[in-house]
Amino acid sequence: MSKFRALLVDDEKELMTAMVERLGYRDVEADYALSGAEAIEKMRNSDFDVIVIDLKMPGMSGTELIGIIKRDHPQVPVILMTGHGFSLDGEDVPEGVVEFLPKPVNIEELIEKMQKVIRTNGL
Amino acid sequence: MDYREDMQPDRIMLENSLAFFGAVTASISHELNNVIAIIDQNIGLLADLLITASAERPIPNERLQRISDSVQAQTDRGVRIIKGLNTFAHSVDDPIREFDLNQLINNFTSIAQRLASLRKVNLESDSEAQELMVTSSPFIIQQVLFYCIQRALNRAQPGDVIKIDVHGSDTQVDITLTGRVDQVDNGWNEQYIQQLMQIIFGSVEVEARDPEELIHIKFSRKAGI
Repeated sequence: MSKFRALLVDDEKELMTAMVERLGYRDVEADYALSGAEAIEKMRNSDFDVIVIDLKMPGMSGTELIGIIKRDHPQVPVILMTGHGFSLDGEDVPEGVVEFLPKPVNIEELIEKMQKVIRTNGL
Repeated sequence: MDYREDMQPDRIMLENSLAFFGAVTASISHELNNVIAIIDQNIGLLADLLITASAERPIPNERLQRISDSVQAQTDRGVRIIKGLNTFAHSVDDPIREFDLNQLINNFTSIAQRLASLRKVNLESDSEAQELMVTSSPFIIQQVLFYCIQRALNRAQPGDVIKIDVHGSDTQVDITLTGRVDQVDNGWNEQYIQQLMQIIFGSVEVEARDPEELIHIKFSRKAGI
């Protein structure tokens, strides 16, 4: 699969920097945002093939951010990263989420899921 | 029809107490999970660096130092969270006992800060460093504070501060929680809060002295026994 660009969104900076570096070692061009507002700004200025979002964030919640992404960038698939017990069949799944990963995230599993949703998206 | 309409008051109180305990522990477990996630990624990063390192290309010391610092910081954070959780969990050991109210308020403020942070709101407690021993129910006091904080958070704007002031005299304690508040709030169970406070404080005095003051509780340092 060709290289792709991912944006990770979570308010835990140390988590983000470590994950971005690890994805870089695996040929994934990744960037991060520490808030919903920062993510919207980065998406306005750059193209991403996939977005990975934490559900619980200060200020704009993951659910609100997903709503904005689905409105402004409907072509970009969203993966949810959450510490909660969660399933894609559950009632609380925000509309637009195509995959989810429980925290702590296994980096290889994250890459597999990113590749899968990008392939499904026809990149 | 609300299934609780036919319930006895003590059964409703038990359900509310469990819901409160669940909400607090769920919030703490979420934060603890973040700590583990950061340590997990740092260990993964270290493993990645070891794979790519060689005798000719050793891992720079500053890279190792940064990972070590991060793991240490998260371990310290985890210890603080668990200590807070442990203190909270033991607050149900005895329904009524003697305890340091300042310590209880400080611990609960840091637990509730995570909920407030999600709304970009700060909780400030001015409870003093010295002991303020009272004989009462630590669990119910925290429950009352939790509902008050939740109510203030319902109306809070990003950047707001919710203040919890505690002052003690020889015989009496004053707790004041100040935040943005509407007179009508659907999420606020006034009757239940009053009921809780009557149990522990007896002749409790609850008043709002100005529009932003959410609750003002005065009680004797040996109330409830």
